[in-house]
Amino acid sequence: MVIISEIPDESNDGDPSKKPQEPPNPSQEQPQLPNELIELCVARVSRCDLPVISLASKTFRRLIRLPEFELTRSKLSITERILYALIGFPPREFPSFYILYRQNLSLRLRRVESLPPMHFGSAVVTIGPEIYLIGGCDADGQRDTTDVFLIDCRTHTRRSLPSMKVPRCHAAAGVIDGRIYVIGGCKMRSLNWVELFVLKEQTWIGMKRKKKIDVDIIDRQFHFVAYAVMEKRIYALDRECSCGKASSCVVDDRLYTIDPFRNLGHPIVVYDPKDGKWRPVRGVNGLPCNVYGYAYESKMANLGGKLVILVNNQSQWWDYNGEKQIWCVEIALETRQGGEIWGKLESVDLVLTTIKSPPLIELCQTVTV
Amino acid sequence: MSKSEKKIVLKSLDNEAFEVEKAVALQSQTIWVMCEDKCVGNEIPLENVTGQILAKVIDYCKKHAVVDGDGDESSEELKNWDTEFTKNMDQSTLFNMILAANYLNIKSLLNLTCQAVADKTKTIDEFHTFLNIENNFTPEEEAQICQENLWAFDD
Repeated sequence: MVIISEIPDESNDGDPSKKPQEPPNPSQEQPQLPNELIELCVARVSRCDLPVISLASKTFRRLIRLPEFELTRSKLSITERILYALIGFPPREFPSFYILYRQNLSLRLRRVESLPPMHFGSAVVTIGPEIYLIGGCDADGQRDTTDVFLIDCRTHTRRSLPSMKVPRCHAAAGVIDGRIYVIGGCKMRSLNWVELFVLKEQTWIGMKRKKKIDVDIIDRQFHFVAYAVMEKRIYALDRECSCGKASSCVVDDRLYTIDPFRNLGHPIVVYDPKDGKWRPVRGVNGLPCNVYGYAYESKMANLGGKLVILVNNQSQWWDYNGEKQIWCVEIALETRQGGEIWGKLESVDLVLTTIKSPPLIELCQTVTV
Repeated sequence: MSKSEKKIVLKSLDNEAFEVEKAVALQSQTIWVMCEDKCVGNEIPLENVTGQILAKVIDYCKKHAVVDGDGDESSEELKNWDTEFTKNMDQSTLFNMILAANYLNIKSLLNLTCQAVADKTKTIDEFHTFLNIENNFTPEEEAQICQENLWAFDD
């Protein structure tokens, strides 16, 4: 337990800058909480509000930054799901992290200033409160990298992990049994087309190829636009056969995506790995038209069982002067009798406006902190 | 077991006596230990809790004992009850409830009341007033922290 040594308890007498405070119950003496109980209260403040709380006093700022504070939170099993997005403004501005949070009932994206800019085209996996960014490339897409970074969302810090064997951009990645598998993002002829990172040992291992590959795809790059893990299998969508789909997420072991062409009659479709079938998500009405128009640049995440979609109101390929926007769409899901899945559009918020070059939503991930 | 053995009397700091079911009272680890150790008759003196607060604690324990016992209420309803329970408590009552929950060692009540404080302190002003904390940053330090956490402060 953390000891807070200097909580001032003097009154505001003689300080004209302070508002006079009236105790809510003047007949009774105002009780003071001991420090360890104050810590228990502060541990329950939402992480989005903690920076504000850290301004309360020096002691609190120190308290919130102590490792013991994290320990208190984890002992109390206090966790929150927070959505992180990585948004760049190509070609000049590399992607930075943003947090989605609610301000006066509407959602907003706010940049996390303490984290440095990242590469374009990194593959991503999330484990608990940590985001792994794997590979990527420079702004021109010329030089791919072997860099791997770990973002700790509790402290908003970044550190380097051992590099991969092969440089990759737009690889697919997924975590299965304590290993991060990374696929593609480099030429198929590469010896280590698939490699894996053993979390316990913090080392990369190349995976040997069992089958001979066809000559016509040996030089193909394979850039994946979406990937997910279900039932210990990695599903990945290659850009060349994506048909306008670019975002997906898993809710209750089913894969959701936007189908802008409504091949099944509905804009949101769901894949069940148990029977290998795509089905429509019924009842999703009133989606703004940019969800269809720019689906190929959208990103989707599972935020507490709901689908959250971040989408531009213009394409990154269509530069113009003036304001560009990122919208956030929330869809609640419900499984009805007979197994049909229905969705309900819950909110549409304008979460970011900019006059820079058109934004590129690199990723959108829910992190449990 | 006779009827009287199932009941227990809790006596507050200001000598108010409350007769409650043993199952209700034993949600408090402190009372449980007292009963195991040195139960003098059926009366337990609680020197740190006033009658006004103890009445509320007993309300909470009754509600939770019933639900745990026969499960006729959903956890959703219980959650709503908890929210209502702390919603209109003023700062002084809430603090006394936290102190009582801590002294009586009732984990779920301590969690609930601490959460209520966290929910009532969303802004820096609320935090200062509610927890009686003084801001001891210089304007320069404050500006630097705002810079580091821009996402939380702008507009």
